[in-house]
Amino acid sequence: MIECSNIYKSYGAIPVLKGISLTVAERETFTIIGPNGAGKTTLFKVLTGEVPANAGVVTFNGENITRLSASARVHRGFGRTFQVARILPCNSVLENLIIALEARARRTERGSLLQLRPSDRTWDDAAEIAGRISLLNKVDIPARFLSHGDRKRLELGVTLALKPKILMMDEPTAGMSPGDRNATIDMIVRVKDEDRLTIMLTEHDMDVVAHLSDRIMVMNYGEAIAVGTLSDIRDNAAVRDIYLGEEIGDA
Amino acid sequence: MGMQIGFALFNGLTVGMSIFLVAAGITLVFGMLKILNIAHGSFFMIGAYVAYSIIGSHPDSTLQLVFAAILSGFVLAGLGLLLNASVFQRLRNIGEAYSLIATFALLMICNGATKIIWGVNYHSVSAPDALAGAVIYGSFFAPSYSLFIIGLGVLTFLALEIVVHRSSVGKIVRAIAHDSWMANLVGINTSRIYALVVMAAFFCVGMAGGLLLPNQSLTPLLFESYLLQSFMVVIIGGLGNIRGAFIGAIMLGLIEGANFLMLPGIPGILVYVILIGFLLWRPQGLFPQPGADTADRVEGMAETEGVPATMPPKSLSGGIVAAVLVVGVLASMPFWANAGFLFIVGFAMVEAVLALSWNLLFGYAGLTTFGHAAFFALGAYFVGFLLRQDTGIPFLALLSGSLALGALVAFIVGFVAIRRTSGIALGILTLSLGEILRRAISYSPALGSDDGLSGIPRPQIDLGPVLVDLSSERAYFWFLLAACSLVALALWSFTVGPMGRVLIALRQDPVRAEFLGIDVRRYRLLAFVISGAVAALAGALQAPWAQIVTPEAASYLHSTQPMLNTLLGGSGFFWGPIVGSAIFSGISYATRTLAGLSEVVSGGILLVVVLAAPGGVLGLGSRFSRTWRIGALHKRPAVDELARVGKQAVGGP
Repeated sequence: MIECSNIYKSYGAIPVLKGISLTVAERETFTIIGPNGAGKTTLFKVLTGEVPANAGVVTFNGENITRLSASARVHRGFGRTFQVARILPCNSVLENLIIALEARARRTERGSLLQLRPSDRTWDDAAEIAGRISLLNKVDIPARFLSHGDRKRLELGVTLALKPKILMMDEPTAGMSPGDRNATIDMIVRVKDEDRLTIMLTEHDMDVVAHLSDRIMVMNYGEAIAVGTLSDIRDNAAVRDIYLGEEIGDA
Repeated sequence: MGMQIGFALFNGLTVGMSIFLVAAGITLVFGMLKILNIAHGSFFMIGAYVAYSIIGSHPDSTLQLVFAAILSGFVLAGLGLLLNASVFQRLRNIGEAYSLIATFALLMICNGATKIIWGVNYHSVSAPDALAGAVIYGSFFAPSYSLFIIGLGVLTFLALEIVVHRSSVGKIVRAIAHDSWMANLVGINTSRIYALVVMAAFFCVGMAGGLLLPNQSLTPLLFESYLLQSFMVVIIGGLGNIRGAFIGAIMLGLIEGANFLMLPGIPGILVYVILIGFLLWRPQGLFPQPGADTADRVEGMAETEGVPATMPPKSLSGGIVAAVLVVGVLASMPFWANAGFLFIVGFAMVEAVLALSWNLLFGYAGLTTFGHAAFFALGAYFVGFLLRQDTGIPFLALLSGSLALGALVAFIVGFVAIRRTSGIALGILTLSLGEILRRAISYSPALGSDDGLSGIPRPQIDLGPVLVDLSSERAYFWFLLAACSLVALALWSFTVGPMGRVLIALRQDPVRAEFLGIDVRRYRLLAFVISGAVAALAGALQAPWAQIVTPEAASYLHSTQPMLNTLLGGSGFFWGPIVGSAIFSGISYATRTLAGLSEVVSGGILLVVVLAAPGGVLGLGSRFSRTWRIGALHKRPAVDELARVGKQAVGGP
């Protein structure tokens, strides 16, 4: 589905990604883990087109998308959520969803210029998504008044409104309470099944990683240390060094 | 020839050092507070007037001049302390555009106060005898006063350089400039350092006012003389870097010198051309300061700011009644209002359209431009010129032509500018383009040079069977009203439709918009083109109303008018710019007879609005009505009703 090879990226003189290659199959959930500063978010930015890579190739369904803008990648089926939820703070939950739905509809059909209000179908779709992300009771509240967990859910809903093929989630449970975290895991599992999604995510919480991932990639200092299933990763000596070796030494 | 070049270089250096003396303060303030202080030129002028009050027209000695300059520095430092406590401190937590407007309000207040205190007459101050001569070295001779200025410029630079980059205080100052939040956390008293830096900056500018007093014509227009150059220095230097400012000032001075040699017919134009090239090449400046430009920061938008409505209201009846009422009252005005008032109202309508078009960029697309008047002038000169030529082109075709011209120019400018710049760099880029246009017009004899085009005839509209004659004041007023209403209605439908929703999304969070699949650059360009076209149309409509167009139509002072109108009325409301235009026109009509007072009053109101109600007049209104609605609901809502009350409070249905 998505594939990248030999991605290099540096910020100024500091190299952040040193030749990352990976392949994610259709309907797979692929998780990237690693210590802070390993380059997980930067890799995400390169894959989604937020920043250009210095070298390397990204392909999506066989098409070379290395030079495409983020919006063009969204048109091809990318959906993206962020570590700190990016939503439209001054618009209500429903307006957030409607704007996303219209952004998608604009690509497939030409709306009439005289039709100022969103179409009835858009309203219905927005309400349906609000139901799916359990925000139906808050549709009229401006997004800036939502709690942290609700913002994350709204961002997921906005992304789902774009009907993506692949969902790229940067730390979907960052900063959540245990209860919210479990609810989010359930929701991700559900939408993946319902919308037949491929998912890439970064995560720190090993519980979440264990629950969701089909395959895991471990990164450290801009390099991929190991790729494999959860048990492969658990048995990998290099990964243990990164995660455990230092801590035991410190303690 | 070699002699000439040497002389031009020397002159350029003098000019550069003068600019640096003035720009040092604005650089300090920008580096620290991230506020581009537009009022800086006015403080320079006040410094000059204070020094003039001390020494009069003929200073006896160099020492006296320096003493007066230092004294005026202290006076300004005191003023700075006062303004820091009352204004600058409050500007730290509001959006960039708002702090710009606040400093513009200060500019108006200062200029008005200067006129009231010192009058509008022209004064000139001669250099003290010791500096009046020249130093002659072989075949080269240099005015002593120029050498004095160059020496002082270098001295000021060295002093600031040592303080900022070599002293322990400088270390603290740089730490705060880099990250004030962190600096606060590690126990630095940031407020005190802020006050200190503001005072230092004001001291510098006050002293510059005194030192540059000789050979200067001292009028209330002095504030303009170094203002734009100071901005450029700040931009070229890298937004608040003293070394960059020093190099930038020298560059500017030398460019002025080159301009004098190569294009003596159009003074001052080369600077703008080179500045634009520079901005496109290196929008972050020579020595980029970390965290200086807040353009891409989402948190830059204050939480209190609202965005305009994204959809038409459920019921249109209230809006229709209000619109009919307003248009009806305006339409009846030719029957009862006197000619002078009618004239002002006509202007206000055009200014309202201009402000609406500016807010399409600011409030909807999230772009702050400072050169909007350039589009207005394009339209005004286009129509004014062709009407005077009596070409026989139908008036409606001329108006369409101005729309197309505005759109074309906006497309070319926007295509390059939006791709390369954002934030302050975009603001200064558009400002420079406006100034180039103004200068180009004022040196074009075909366009009437500085006097502009006067005696523009009012047209007739041939609608086949009916010939509408607009030559009378009354007829053209009605036409103006109809045209402005139509434009406003069209813009409103645009903004509450799907396109408006796209713009509002990308204004709030460009990154999110991009990941909604919205091509941010393309839609920003679309907004830029529409905005430019409407601004040109506003100019085209105004030319036959005023019957005169001058280069001032393109000046940056005119560019600020739509900004003021928009923020006064409320940028978070589509109709805000119209309300603001009405209020501003009212104020300037009411205070028109007193030189200076109208500026003080307008500036004061604007400052209060920006500081107390960043949502503008309409924002204030909606806040009150919301409080009232909750209050009226119940004295004390029961617990089970809190959800409903909360929903009402945040503006639910």
